[in-house]
Amino acid sequence: MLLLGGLFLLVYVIVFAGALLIEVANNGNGSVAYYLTAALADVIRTLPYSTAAAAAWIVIAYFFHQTIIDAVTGGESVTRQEQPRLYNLLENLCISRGIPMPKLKIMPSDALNAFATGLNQRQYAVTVTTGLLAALNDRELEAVLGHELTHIRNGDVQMMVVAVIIAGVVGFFGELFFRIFTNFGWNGGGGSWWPRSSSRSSSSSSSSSSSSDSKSSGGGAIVVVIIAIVLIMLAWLLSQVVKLALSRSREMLADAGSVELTKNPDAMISALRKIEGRGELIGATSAVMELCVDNPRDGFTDLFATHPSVESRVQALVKYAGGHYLGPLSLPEPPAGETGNEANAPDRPEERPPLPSHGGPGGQPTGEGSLPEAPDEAPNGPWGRPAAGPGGGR
Amino acid sequence: MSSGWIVLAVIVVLVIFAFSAYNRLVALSQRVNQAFADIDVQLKQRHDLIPNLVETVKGYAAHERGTLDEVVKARNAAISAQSPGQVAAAENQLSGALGRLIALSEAYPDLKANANFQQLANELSDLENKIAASRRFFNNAVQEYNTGIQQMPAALFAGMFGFTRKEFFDLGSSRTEVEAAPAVKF
Repeated sequence: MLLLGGLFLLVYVIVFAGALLIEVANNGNGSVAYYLTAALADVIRTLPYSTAAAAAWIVIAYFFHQTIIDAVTGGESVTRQEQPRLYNLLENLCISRGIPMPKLKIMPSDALNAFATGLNQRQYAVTVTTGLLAALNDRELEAVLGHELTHIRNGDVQMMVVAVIIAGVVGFFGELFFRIFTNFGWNGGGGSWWPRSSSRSSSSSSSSSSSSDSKSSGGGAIVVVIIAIVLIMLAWLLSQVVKLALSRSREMLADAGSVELTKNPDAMISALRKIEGRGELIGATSAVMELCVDNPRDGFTDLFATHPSVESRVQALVKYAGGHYLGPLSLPEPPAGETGNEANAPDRPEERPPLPSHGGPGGQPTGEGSLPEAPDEAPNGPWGRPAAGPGGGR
Repeated sequence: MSSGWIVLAVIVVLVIFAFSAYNRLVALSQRVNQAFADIDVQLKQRHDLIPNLVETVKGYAAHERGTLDEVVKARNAAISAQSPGQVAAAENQLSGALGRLIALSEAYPDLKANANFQQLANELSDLENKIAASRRFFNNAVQEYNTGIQQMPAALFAGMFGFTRKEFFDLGSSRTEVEAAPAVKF
């Protein structure tokens, strides 16, 4: 709730900053006080519109959140008959903690990942990829489901959706006002260091463009522009920081919650190692990736890494949950052919094997052969691990 | 500021504390009761499955009277058990008997291949998991309740309101019988 209030506040701050810029573009000769009061009047005048826009954003997200995500990822509900193994695992976990069972969905994809969605009890859902179903054994699947259930139980999904909305709104308005600003071709005393963005013609702004040839300004304009820029950057930075801080610690908490549910830290560790580097969901937006068990996008692609690295999560599980350390797994190479060069993930580290191909030979998720299912009681199974493997099945 | 007001304020705060502590303990206690009742839901489902299972096995292994009778007897004992201790003991006996019955299928390949039998065996196995899960939930609820009545400031009021420690669901004295390996007779 507090975050939602913060969202409205951020929107007003952005509108204020934008109004400052527009006032400067209109009349380059004013004083600081003039600009501030004029911008404030603008904000108050447009208050109904900005409030309505922010509210509309929130309402759309609230009701269509699940539909949008399903459309993007292709998830479909499954019943107990269709997936008894998965359904029973989830149901038993819910019984053991006395929480109502969320909807279960399957997403056809060779990637190994799972995510939780839903903003209230009616909407809660856990989606699992078919690749994950094929690659993980029962205990590991249970650990992943426990992780997602803990996200739901801790209210992480609401937090992340709000944080993403904030980042999106701020980014949207910030970019919009930048474009308006640079399109006015402001070449006053302080403007020369701003890059000229080769943007499309900006959407119509309320001020007339006849005064676009601003005179070389008095000191007030520069100061005010600087204030506006700083405000926008601060708002944006804050939204990113909020997103980051929430994600990392909550992922660790979800790992801990999973162990609390299943009492089996080794299963979570081996599940994480199997998922490592194979979690890329094609076509999923950043928002969806943040809700996943592992988010392989990091560095500049997604601006900042929102998940702690698998290594640090394994270390935490070893240190605090009594798990046994397991190094990165070297899985067999996928069949030759498409090597999954997705445009979404240019940063994939070189040492990880490429993703299994989509729609490759056979076209069946379990028929790909690149990630054979690990039997419960074969510690020297196809993974090529040393004999002291994880106690995944114990 | 007269000391009378201060005393009054302190009393009001204490009363508010007591109210909220009481309400919280009531909620936790009810959760424990509900958790115990939920175990019964799974147990009853298991009772309902058994007649069908016994009939299916009789169709292929009619002369295994010993094992079959054991299961029927254990089921009746479990249904008629009253106190929680009796219920726990009877249900554990039933689990053991069912395990031996399912193991019979190893000696009778026709029985093992029967689709009905396989489905019943799978459902029973899933029910065992569910019973374990509901017991875990019960233990969680008991733990939260016990912690609640021992933490301050609720600890000051708990005794006066009649909230006492509850027991976990463990095997207790019947543990040795349950843990004895079933004797396999052919």
